[in-house]
Amino acid sequence: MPLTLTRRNVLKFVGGSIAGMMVTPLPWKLLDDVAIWTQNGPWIPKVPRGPITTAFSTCALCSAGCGIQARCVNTIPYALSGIRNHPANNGTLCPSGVAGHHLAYHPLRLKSPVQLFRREETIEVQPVSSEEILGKISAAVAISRNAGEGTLALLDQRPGRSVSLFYRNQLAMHGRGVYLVSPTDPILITQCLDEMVGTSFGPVGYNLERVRTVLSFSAPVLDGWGTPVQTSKMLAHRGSSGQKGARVIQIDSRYSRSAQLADQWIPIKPNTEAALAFGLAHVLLREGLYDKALIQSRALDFQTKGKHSYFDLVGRFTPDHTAECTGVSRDVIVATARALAAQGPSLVIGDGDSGGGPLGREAEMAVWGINILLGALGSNGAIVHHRAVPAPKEFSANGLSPVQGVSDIPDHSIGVLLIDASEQGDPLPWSLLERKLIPDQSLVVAFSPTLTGLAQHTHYIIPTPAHLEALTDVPTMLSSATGTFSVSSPLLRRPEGTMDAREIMGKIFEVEGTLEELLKQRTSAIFESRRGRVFKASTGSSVQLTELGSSDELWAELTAGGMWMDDPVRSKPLPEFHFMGRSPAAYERMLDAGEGISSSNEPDAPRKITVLPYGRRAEVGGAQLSPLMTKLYQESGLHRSSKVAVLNPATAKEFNVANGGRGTLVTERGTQEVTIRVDGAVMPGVAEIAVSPEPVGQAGTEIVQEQDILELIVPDQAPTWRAFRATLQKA
Amino acid sequence: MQKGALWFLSGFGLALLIGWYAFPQLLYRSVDQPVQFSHAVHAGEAVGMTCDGCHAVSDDGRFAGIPTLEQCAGCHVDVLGASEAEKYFVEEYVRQEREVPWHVYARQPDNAHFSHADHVKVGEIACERCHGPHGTSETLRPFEENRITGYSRDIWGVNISGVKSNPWEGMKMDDCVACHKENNRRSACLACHK
Repeated sequence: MPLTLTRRNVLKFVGGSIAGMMVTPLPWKLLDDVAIWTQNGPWIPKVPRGPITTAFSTCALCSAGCGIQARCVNTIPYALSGIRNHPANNGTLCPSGVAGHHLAYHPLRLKSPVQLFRREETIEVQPVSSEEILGKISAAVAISRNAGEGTLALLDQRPGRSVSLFYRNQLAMHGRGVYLVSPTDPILITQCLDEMVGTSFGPVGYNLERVRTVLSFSAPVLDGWGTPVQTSKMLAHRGSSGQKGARVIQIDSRYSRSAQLADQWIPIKPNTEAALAFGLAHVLLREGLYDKALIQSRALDFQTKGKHSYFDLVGRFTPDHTAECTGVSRDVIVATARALAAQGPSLVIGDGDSGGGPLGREAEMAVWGINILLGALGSNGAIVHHRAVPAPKEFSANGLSPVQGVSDIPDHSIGVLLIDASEQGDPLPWSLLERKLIPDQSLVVAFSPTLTGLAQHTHYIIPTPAHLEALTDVPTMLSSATGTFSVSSPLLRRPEGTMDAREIMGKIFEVEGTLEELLKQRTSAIFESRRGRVFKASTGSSVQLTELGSSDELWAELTAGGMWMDDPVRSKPLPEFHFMGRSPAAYERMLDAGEGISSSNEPDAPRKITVLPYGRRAEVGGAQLSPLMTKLYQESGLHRSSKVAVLNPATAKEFNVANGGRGTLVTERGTQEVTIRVDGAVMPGVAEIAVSPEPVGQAGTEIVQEQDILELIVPDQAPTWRAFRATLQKA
Repeated sequence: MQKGALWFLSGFGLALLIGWYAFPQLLYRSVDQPVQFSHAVHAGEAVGMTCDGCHAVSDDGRFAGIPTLEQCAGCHVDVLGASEAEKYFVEEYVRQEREVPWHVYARQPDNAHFSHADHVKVGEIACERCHGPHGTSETLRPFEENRITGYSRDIWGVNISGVKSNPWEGMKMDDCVACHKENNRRSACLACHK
């Protein structure tokens, strides 16, 4: 029976071969092996083989100052974990910290200076020499010394470091230099207290050991707000009021992680925290639940004749009126105020959240007001004084430029803006900063390891060493009861072409010295103070500073994962103060904040929705979160993408959008496409959107711009962006 | 049988032959270890060493893996026996102070972190559970390298079909996860992928 080769027979043979192949391992094993090959291709950076060693340092991604232990192959870290018994983290690390060694390999990493050209949706980067950029900055800085020209401003995205003191020093000597921080920076919260007492009250922190009741105004107190040790203690003891730990009451417009973990969640209408603070103060005053002798002797605006007083202001916020403003029931307002007074010591925390923005100056003063009424600032209170970390004497001798929030300076006043984004901190909407620049004449330069965050909006970027490549110190955290100092020593070699921020500023101002010298000077100043304790990572225990023989020995401990902790001091008595601050229009400003009057609070308009941005510290900066974590978060749903808007079912119905459908948010600043998710825990009329880095695209020298929800914010006079209005259209 | 079915069946049969026989031959290449080594001699009565004499977990949890030349040279500074393999080892590596470029059967990708201390000391899992009973082997078998991935055949398992007849066959993530499930242990991504 001859087999004839015909087209049909060939097809049958091929069909048989394909069918046969499917029941062999060939296609499946090939698929698997090719997938593995793509993970190990020559284009993937690999850790060279070599001896496995352990190195210690301190995480500088936020100011918690967690000790890190790095497993290294051939001195290159490949796995990070916490240092056991470390006072900040006791062996734990947050997800951002665990993946911190990835950041040097960020896809938007810069290793040479660039000039930026913005297109509609992309940024083109062109290489440029650092000498050229420094020349332009120096020329612009020289011009800015003249009156009538735009000022020189430096935005420090991680204030409190030693290099921050150097900046302030240089800006003070410049004469017209302005030192700026983000409105979300905790340093501004203590400035509100300074404004109330009329002088520098000194650094303050929280002694959470003393507290029985914590009332948080949207601060993520149980989710990355304090150090991991503080958070784990609060989590372990919550609900056990009076025995071991604090009862936590979370006031939040969102059912945030802290709200979920707290003993009580009080949902509140967006941006009405000031009203609730006044309402709580109203109940405390009406029921006499405060230290009358203290208030009458120290409060200068408590009750004043012929002028509006704090008593008048708070008097307007009856429980019924407050309930109307905030959406919190009058019974809850009264019960909360009574609980704060009865289950003391109590602590009220403002702060907001990092992505959602600050509460605002007036709301923060309203929060300080409750703390004062509750005696939280007294000698037995939870808000304690600590001393500033000792610094070299030359800084105080030469003067320091004052710390100012971005909203504190006039619009169109900045001629040269330098942004130190080498340690990216809290996010800041570019629109708030842009309005401070002289249009079309200003020069904006960032010092940043990556093309992320505010650096995307600049004219030039000088690349700095990435996380764990840089030597830097970690400032004291707001929640810390004493001053602390630790040093993040480099675990990776920094690439040629990068310069640390001290080097850059040294060249601009022609000041000799290095960052290492600066940090060693600070270490010497600490050593000479002869106070405090030092945690030694090598032994996992702390010793008195006086047990160390020299400043060099202290430096060696600090650069190997150690931490210096100051001794606690007795709190100063509260001096005379103004509840509403000392501004002539203080009453009106506080009242406006309480009543919710601002340009962003426009009457309800059809198709408009209130957008609530949110994001946790150390998770919101493009250069803080490893791209791997961004991917894991978004795929696992642990952290939402900024391309997802979460709506209440009723709101989704009202706007005719469905779960999983697409929508477009529109403001005067632009549009953003979002995927709609429906969740019954979201307040009606709002869209919750995470502030978080997105995976980015790059094609040659063209880079797709990060589209962050903060880009849609239309600036107004309020230095906060906790809620803003946008039109929501079905896409 | 129709002629058409014959064409189909011959294609089917050829594919089976290629997939099950030729493909594994092509996929793996066999490489001899640079030096022969007898586990039986070292772990036997004459020498009396134990597994952790060379493959030790240190106090800080680090696993020594394959011993370094320095460890081997501790005994083999000179030729001790009569074997050609030992003579070659001493002359080519010990005297010339060259590390032996062993082909590691269990080598994992760089993105997989495995703690021997956790599994052996805390979990009390025997070495043989993953590495097989090679403590009595007289010679080192050839290293079968996957031409595409570069990893050992031991990672996938001896049987190309993926069917395992012994618990130590296969060292892929699926095998780790299966064992974790079997022993009611968590399988968090970041536990292994740092």
